[in-house]
Amino acid sequence: MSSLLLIGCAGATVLGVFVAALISLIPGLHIYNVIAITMLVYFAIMDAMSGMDPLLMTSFLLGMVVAFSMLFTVSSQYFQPTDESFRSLVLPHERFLLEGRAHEAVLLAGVGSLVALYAIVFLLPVMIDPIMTFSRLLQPHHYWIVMTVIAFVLMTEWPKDHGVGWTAAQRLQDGWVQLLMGYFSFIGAGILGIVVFNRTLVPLDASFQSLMPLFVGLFAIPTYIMTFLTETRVPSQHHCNSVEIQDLDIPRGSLSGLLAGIFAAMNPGLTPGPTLLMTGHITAQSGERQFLIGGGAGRLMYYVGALVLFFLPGVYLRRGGAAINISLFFVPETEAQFHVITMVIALSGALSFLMLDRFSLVCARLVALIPYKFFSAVGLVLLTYLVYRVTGPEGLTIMGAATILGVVPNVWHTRRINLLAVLLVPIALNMGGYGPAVAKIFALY
Amino acid sequence: MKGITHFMSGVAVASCFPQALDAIFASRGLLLPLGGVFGVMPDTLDFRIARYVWNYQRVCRIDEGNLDPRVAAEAMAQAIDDAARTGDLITLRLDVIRVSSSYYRTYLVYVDDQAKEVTAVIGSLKTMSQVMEKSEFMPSSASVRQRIQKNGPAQTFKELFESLPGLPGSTPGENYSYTAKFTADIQNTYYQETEVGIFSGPDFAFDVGPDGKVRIDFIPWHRTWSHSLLMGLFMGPVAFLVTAKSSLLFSGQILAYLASGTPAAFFIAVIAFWVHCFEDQTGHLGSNLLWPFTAKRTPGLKWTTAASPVSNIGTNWLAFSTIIWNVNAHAPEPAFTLPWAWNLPGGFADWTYYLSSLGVYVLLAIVIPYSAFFVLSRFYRSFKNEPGMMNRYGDGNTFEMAGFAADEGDL
Repeated sequence: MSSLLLIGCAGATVLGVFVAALISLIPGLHIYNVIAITMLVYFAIMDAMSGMDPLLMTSFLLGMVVAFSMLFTVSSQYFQPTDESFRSLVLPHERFLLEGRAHEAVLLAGVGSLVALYAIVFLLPVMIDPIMTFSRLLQPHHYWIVMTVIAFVLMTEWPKDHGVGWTAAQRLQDGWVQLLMGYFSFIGAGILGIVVFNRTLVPLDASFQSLMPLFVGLFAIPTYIMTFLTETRVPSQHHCNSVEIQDLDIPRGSLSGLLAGIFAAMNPGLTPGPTLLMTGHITAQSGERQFLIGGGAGRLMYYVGALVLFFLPGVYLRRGGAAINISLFFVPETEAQFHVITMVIALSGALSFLMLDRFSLVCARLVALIPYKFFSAVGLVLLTYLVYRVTGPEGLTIMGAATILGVVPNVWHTRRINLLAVLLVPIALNMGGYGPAVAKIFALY
Repeated sequence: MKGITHFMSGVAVASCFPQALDAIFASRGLLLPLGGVFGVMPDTLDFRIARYVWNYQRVCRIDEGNLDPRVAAEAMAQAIDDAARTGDLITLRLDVIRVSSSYYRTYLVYVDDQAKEVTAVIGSLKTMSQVMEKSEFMPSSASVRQRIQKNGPAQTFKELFESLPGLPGSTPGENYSYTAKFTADIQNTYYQETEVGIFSGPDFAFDVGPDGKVRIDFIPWHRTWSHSLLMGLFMGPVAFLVTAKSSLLFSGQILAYLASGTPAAFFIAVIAFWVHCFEDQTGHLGSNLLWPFTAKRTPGLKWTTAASPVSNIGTNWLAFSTIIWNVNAHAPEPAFTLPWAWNLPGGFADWTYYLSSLGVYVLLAIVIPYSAFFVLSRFYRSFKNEPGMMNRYGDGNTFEMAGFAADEGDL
């Protein structure tokens, strides 16, 4: 491998980090959407760049993924404040913003991301054999593991109170409204997922992005809508130079995050949301600092760790949107390539972590200067345009249907995790061999 | 134990059934998730049904605009005396003081069975996270008892509120406590102090026992019929019918439908349910194992608490190790083999091979990790108990930190 290629990879990585940092300023934009656009551009100019080593493009995308997984939550944290009246529970990072401590939350998540980065760079390369063994062992079991996660998610949402009413029936009815709406959003999202997985509703040339309108509709647009409805005032933010952490916060928070990330990365269909819920309980996670650290570690371990599995010699597991897109033009073959990938992750991770402080400061200044609803308006217009551009009017229709479902958790105070049924249900059914039978019920087969 | 611990234990129970594992490879069976479902079922029944069916008679509600500790103290004391006087079962709920989606006003009631007093202390504003993490910062029970003997409960808990996680400076400066007297003899089955924090607040039942004492039961709707051995037996047929082919039922072939059920599902459901009850029994509250023969909970063994990281992580690791061992040993082509068994003929179907491998596996996956964890936690606790580390909270040398063991707060 030539020195020039290595320098080129480093340059592409740095470029990827800065592009991701710029894009991360728009709340709600997901890295897989950005990669999809990048791939469209790349394929359009592929002929003109036929002499370019695919490792350069891979480095660019990896730089983007690493930086994005560290930075993308920062903008949504600053620009999408929570109105307490819409929620039964305000999450720690949302509350920190309302207390002027958003930067502290950013740094705590950054600590978790850094631990995950160390684990990926230093531990994963020496864990190839156990990972391969686990991968082989889990191969026939993915379907029931995903179904187990589904069962846990559905069975462990407790009603938040005793319900109001003079009789047991009245109290049951009152308490169960929230639960039933959670099941409604789960079933609705599951059916939507089954339909999209079994019918190509978007134009054929955009079929590799058929999930994009679903995710934008279920998660991004409802958050924009709630931000528009929010009347919260974002107070001036304190830019702290240090954070207060108890001695066990980092190991316990990171442990739950790392477990969640690797669990999601190794099992198709799983994302850090439900796995963080499970590992947080498994490790008896406690307190808001551990929650924030765990979130940072889990996100990075999932997005980057899943991608690394694709490059690990002998493993080559293709998990997550980034790996699927990279596999369209790059096939990992040598150990030398893996070392380059490790270098790219270390470089982009270090750069992103160093940028975190300034990035947070920029977001704090922006939210002080510009009304926060502006950022959501930009995001809404941009994402709607992207969905239309990539998946056409059919995609917009799917996005609209998904948006209606996506609003349900905000209105009835249910878990948003239920909406992940859009992915969990069809994947579990298909892996378990039940997919065709269920699709038949919906006249899709 | 936490819900996930019960759930994982249920999956581990199911993985011990060869039929469940064979079904994975033969017909993509779902008996392992089924084990998880029945593992967490007792709590699901409680939190989704029992709490609504429970008939509470009195509700004590304090308003953030008028933080009067007398309301809670007198409500408890009066309930005790009313139960003793009438001989009737009295139920009382102490409602939470929810200030916003983020903050709850916490307060605490302390029942002193010797002095026959109930002391209510208004505490600080806390987020849900801060209420949940309280146990990690709690001083050991012994040092709290010592402090109560020295300064009384009101002063002790005021100091604790000020030093535990919470919104700084949010404790009320004056009129923060009130002590009410009661006359009856009592038998308290749970902790002397109960903090009213998040969700819907604690429930109490006051009932006169055969000894004439008023027995105080904490959250009386929890761990009763839903955590009994008999209810576990009821789960067997449910699981059996769930695994039967529903198409036969819908086509009217009842006998064929019953014949298509999986017998292993029956036992998985029952044992997973019972394992949940046993795990809960290791805590303080206990369960009503012998319902309907008794209406009382059997007190817990007090080995651990539901929120303890040590017991939760330890139990989950045991469940995880069990699942991994079973799915590997029953796989058509095992993903790993172990030393000692490498040179033996045959595979996991051979008992010598199986037991040799299991011995190594227990050593590598359970004995060594548990020993390492035990040594590390001992080391950590000795480090935490250094004099300089003990007094981060409180005003000096009184509170000894319970720290990682988190010996408070069972639910």
